[in-house]
Amino acid sequence: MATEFNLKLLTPSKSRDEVKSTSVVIPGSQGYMTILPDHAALISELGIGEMVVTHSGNSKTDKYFLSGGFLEVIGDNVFVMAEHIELDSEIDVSTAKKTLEEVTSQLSKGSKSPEELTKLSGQLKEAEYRIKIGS
Amino acid sequence: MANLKDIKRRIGSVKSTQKITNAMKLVSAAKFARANAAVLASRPYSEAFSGMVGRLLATVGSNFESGLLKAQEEQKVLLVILATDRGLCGGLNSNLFKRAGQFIEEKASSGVEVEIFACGRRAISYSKKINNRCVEKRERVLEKPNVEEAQELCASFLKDFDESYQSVYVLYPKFNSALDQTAEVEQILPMTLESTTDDDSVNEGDIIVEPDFSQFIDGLLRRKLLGSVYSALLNGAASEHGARMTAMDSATSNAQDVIKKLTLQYNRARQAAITTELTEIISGAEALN
Repeated sequence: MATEFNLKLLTPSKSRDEVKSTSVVIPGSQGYMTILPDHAALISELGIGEMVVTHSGNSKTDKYFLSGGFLEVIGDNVFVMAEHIELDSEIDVSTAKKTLEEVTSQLSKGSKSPEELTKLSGQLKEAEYRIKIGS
Repeated sequence: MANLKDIKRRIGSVKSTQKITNAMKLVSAAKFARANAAVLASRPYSEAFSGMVGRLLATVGSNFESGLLKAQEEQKVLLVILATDRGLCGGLNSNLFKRAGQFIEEKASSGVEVEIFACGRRAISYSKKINNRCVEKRERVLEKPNVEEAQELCASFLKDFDESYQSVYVLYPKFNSALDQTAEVEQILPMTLESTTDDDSVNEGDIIVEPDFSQFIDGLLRRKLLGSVYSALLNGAASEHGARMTAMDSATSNAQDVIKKLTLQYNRARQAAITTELTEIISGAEALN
């Protein structure tokens, strides 16, 4: 029985080094889930939220902001392919705060088409999570 | 034979041109290294993504549909040309435009109208020259390609797909190496979902898919589209700098050849002048005797 798995965090512009991990909590599009070693093969859509990675060996945890993409578990390999993956220390909180203000003021003004609303609420959620995780 | 002063001036001017081309070569080399690193950095993601799509298709079977997959008979198509803003990059742009001309002719012969989405100043002037309808223009697309820019481009392609255009094609310089770029036309819309892996280990129903595939197929396709547009942008940027680096390198060595030839000419002219002078002095002295 495996006690750890290889976790690969990938974005279109950057791939992080593979880490050995014992558990990862990840925001699926339908809610949070935890992947443990020996998980069944799974493909899932991801949402916006906080990802917590527990490193194998020292049980240290890392928090990441994650937005949009897919998760694939195949054997001992876990691939997280997301649009944004940011470690908590890398998050630009001041920009996120600015975005939050802009989006809130836009939302309070006038009526919006459904597409605009989806886009704005996505941005709002991203900004909120960035601030929460980053500060 | 040109006089000494003229030759000296020409040597000076060629030397300063050489300095410029050499500086451009160095700048392009640095930019090329960065662009090349970006191409390499995007590879693990795209490989993992296509691997996942392959396994996903194997497990869900062929029971899905999406507006982005709907192929219709072509009447009007959009051709996106990714060209550079500045010249001095060898035959990169002219090869692209030659391929664009071919493409437009091919489509015209089967009665399909082609409209152009020009990215980069060179593409804009090309579309003016051939008088084809240019529906949108963008500048400085290849300068610093990033995901946000690719996203924005995707959104504008998707906006008119299906209503105005039955297909969208992207023409970009595919990056093979710093010396070799090929003009490539890729159909990006409608998309095709094909199992790309030869992995036979996955059978229908082997993988848990969450939520139901029909709920996220559109999201998956959009991300796939984004991936191909982003990779076209990265390829374009790497090709541009690679081509400019090579072009400037050969310009620098050509300038060296010209300088060598001119220096030879200069020395010959100088020697001839000395010889004439000497003859004059000697004959002058002899006349006095």
